[in-house]
Amino acid sequence: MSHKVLRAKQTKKLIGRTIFYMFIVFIIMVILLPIYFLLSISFMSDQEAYDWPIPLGLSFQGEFKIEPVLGTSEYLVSVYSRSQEAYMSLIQGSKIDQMSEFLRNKTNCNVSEEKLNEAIAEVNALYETNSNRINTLTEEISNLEKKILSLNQNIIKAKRNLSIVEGRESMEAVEEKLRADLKQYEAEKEIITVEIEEKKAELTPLNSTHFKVFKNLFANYVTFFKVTRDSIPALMRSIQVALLTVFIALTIGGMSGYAFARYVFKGKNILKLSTLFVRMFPGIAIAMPMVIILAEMGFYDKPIGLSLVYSVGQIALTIWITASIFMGIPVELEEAAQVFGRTRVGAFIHITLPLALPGLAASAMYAFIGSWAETAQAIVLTQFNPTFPVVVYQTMVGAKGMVNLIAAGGVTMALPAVLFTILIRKYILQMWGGVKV
Amino acid sequence: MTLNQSVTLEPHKSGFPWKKVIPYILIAPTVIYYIIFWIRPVLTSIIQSFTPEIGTGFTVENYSRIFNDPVFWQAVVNTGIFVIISVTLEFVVAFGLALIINKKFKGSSLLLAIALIPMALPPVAVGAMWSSGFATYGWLNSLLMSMGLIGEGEKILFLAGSDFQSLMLIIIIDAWQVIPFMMTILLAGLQGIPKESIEAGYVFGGTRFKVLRKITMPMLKPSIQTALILRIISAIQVWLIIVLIFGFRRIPVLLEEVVFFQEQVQNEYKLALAYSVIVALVVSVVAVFYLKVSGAFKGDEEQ
Repeated sequence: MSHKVLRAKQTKKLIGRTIFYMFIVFIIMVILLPIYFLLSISFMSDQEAYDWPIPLGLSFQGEFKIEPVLGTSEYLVSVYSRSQEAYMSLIQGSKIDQMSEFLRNKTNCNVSEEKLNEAIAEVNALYETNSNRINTLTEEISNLEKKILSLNQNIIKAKRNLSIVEGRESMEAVEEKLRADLKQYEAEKEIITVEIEEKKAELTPLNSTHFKVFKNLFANYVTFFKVTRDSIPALMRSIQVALLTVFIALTIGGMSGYAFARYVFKGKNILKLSTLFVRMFPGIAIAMPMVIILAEMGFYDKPIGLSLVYSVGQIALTIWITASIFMGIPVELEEAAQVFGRTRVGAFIHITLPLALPGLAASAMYAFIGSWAETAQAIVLTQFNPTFPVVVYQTMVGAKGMVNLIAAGGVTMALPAVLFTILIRKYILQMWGGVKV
Repeated sequence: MTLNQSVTLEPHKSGFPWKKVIPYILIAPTVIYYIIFWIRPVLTSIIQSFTPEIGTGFTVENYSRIFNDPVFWQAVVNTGIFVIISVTLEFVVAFGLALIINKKFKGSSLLLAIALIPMALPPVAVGAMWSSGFATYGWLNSLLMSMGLIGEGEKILFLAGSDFQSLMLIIIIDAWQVIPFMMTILLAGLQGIPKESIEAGYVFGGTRFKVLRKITMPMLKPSIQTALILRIISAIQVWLIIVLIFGFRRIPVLLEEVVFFQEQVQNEYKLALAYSVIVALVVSVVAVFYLKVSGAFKGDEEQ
């Protein structure tokens, strides 16, 4: 009996555990799926990104088909679409260089002119050996297509007549005949359609050739930097602004953080809350008058000007975080060092600072991320020298960018921020541990 | 103990009250910085918002124009709905997640690491992610279709819903990014609660829910306050994600209007300033009200 109860208990526990882990997996999916799609779209070509439905997996190469357009000297190039499970026509033409460039832009595959020439030579050779069969087949197909056309007209006519006659008394005989006709037409159409398909299936290998080309996965990233107005200088500027902000926030904020952690002084509470109050006045509202103030200082539209403004928010955050870090280091250590003859400053430099260093580095990265991602104030505070987020923002809101290019910009933006966050993940909890409003 | 105290009180035996002066020296740079780069622009904003666009003199025209603008009232309503729903939703979910991760199961540290990623993403990246997701031919519809949840021709028109639906969409996107942030603060607080006090609750016959309400929640109060106040402040200032997804003036909110008049319209600089003063006023009133009600001020005085 007790054995049975134990078994039942174990099963219940197992089910509970399974449900729990299913829930955890669900949460992870909710977090990771959008990120996965952003990443995967950033690697997609225009053709893939605007396909429907958007392919769920990444592809590393494109499959192309090339065929001569009968009666002209032009060639038709198609690419295999995984969503449609069929070849989609891309370009028809005779100028190899133009075609190559178009295909490269559209599919992100490096379709070189040599490759195209090679494929065309192959297709021409194929055509010559099979020309008789191809000609008869195309003729047959076009005849069959004409038949379908006339059948379609008959069907439409019959349907129209049917709609007139339907439901009227004394017209039942006519109605019946029309229905019979319609049925016959549709049956005929079906047979011919199948026939055309068979003939086309025979024709395709005779007059077309396939080739595969590897995809350039980072093509969107390259294009993004090429088409958007000076994005590489903007990237450099963003890094510069972030580093300056880290420096200002950490020196000024760190000092206050230490004071918060170690001393009791008048006005502490007011200052503590003021770190909260600086967040209440919208950043853009600060940025607008700052345009004039920075212009007076000669810092407008320069990285230093931006970081001076960013630092207002970052100092507040750094005070909170560093205070929490210094509180985690026992004051007794410093006092002991002073007993052994070190000065207050010496005790701080030789005892507390080394212990606080990892936490301070984490706080620096936090400030870096904050400054790196800041968009709103940068929109107001820059004119000719935008930061990187502003460039991405303009590509998005200006609606001049394609979805895959925007994704590439977004991923470039996100990469350092995510990297730093994962690096300092241990400290993030510690950083917020001592925070108290 | 007495030895230590005497050491810290008189480090230089010079009679100069270092202990009292040092903290002020340490905070002086912050205070000076705030005076130059915060108080000064804030005062400039407030003063200039009372002057006409061209010329000088005192006028309340900027404000009266805003109050007579129907879009302003729409923005107030939208912002209000956004703050109430998003803060509630985010807090509840974040609290639940924090309780789960705090249980320290196998893989909890992995979950924490993954949960931190949305928090790290810059707003423009989040905008790019979701604007491509909620597009009619976007990845979300593609995913739903390949999962068989919707058929061909049943694509969900996420971005074409009513104003309220669009606002809900923004709340979902915002929640996706902000929940990890709130969770981090709450989790940090949870890890600071000694295990003994929770165990004591169970020993004395408390149910899981009762322990949560009577022991965990009160001990977590400082973290809850921090999370909520930071969140409320930034929720009232939402705008970028809305503009990235819907563009300007589709769903007006307070701060979006500021940027609209600053960036998109010529010669409305003073109006934008007046708008931002109103936003700041709203944020301050709500924040101070929250701090008063939640007793944060009282807690400070006791310290």
